[in-house]
Amino acid sequence: MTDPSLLLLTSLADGDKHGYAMMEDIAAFAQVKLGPGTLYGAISRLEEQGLIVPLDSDDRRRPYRLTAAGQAHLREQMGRLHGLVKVGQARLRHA
Amino acid sequence: MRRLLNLVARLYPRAWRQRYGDEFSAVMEQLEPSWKIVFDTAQGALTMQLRKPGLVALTLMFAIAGALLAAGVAWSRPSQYRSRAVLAATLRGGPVTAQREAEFLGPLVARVLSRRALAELVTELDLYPELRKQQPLEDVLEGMKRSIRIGPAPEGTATEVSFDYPQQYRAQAVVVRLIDRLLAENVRVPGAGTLELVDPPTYPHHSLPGKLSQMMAQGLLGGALLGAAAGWWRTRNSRSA
Repeated sequence: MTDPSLLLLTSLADGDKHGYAMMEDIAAFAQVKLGPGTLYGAISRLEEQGLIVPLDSDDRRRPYRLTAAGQAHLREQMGRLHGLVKVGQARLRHA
Repeated sequence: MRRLLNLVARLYPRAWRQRYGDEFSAVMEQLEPSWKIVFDTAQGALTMQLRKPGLVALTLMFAIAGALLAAGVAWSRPSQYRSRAVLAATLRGGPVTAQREAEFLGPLVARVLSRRALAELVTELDLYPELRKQQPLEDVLEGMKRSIRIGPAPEGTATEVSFDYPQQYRAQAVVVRLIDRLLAENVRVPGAGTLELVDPPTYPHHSLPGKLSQMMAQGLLGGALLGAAAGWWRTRNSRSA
């Protein structure tokens, strides 16, 4: 799974994070190192879609939060991935 | 490398930088610069420019599209070949001046390039077969006139007769007929002078220099102007919104 949007939503699913914290988290749980261009491309897209929101911050590192729509979207995507994994595993058993 | 990275980050659209610039810089400061990060940032900037193109991006995009379109049009056009002959006029009762030569040649040229004369040439040599199926003969003849040149030759006081056509032998055949008719008309109605063939009609071995670069430059300029206008319109609308 290397879709930056999905990785980012997954990262925010366990709490608010700023850009660098998301990069670190994604590298830890998915072993994917997102570049800053890729990360902020996904952030601006997801914010436009209303799946994440920026939070107020005193410093330059602005944190982001998953919205209800973002949670629903992530849940739906996870359901699809789960279905895909099940099909893949079942077919591998008969391979 | 850090300086290069900062430079690349400036490629993001201004509106994007105003919104995300500070936090983006904060992330960049925590990263060890590398070529991978530079390319990733450049790719991100390009993607953002294409998603919400501003004045500069729109101008560039339209200019490139215009140049490519013009190149496509230039390549799709058939090559043109030019056959050329040179005539010399001897005028009675004085030296050959440009004005006297024009007065002498004018009526001859008008007869040779009359609608009837050109229509005969088109039929006899089966010129512009495809175009004649699509356009009225009058339009075809107007186009043919634009491919014919009868006027002062670059070398000295001679008169040049030339014709451009996609087939070499037909280009030459047309110039042969034009010369024959000019000479015949001169014999029939001598007027103030005599025409003499100096250089016979050439068989063009090479096509005319392509107008690719010229057309691409025009496409580039046209596209840039269109892009700038679109960018200006977009900026104006987004400010008033």
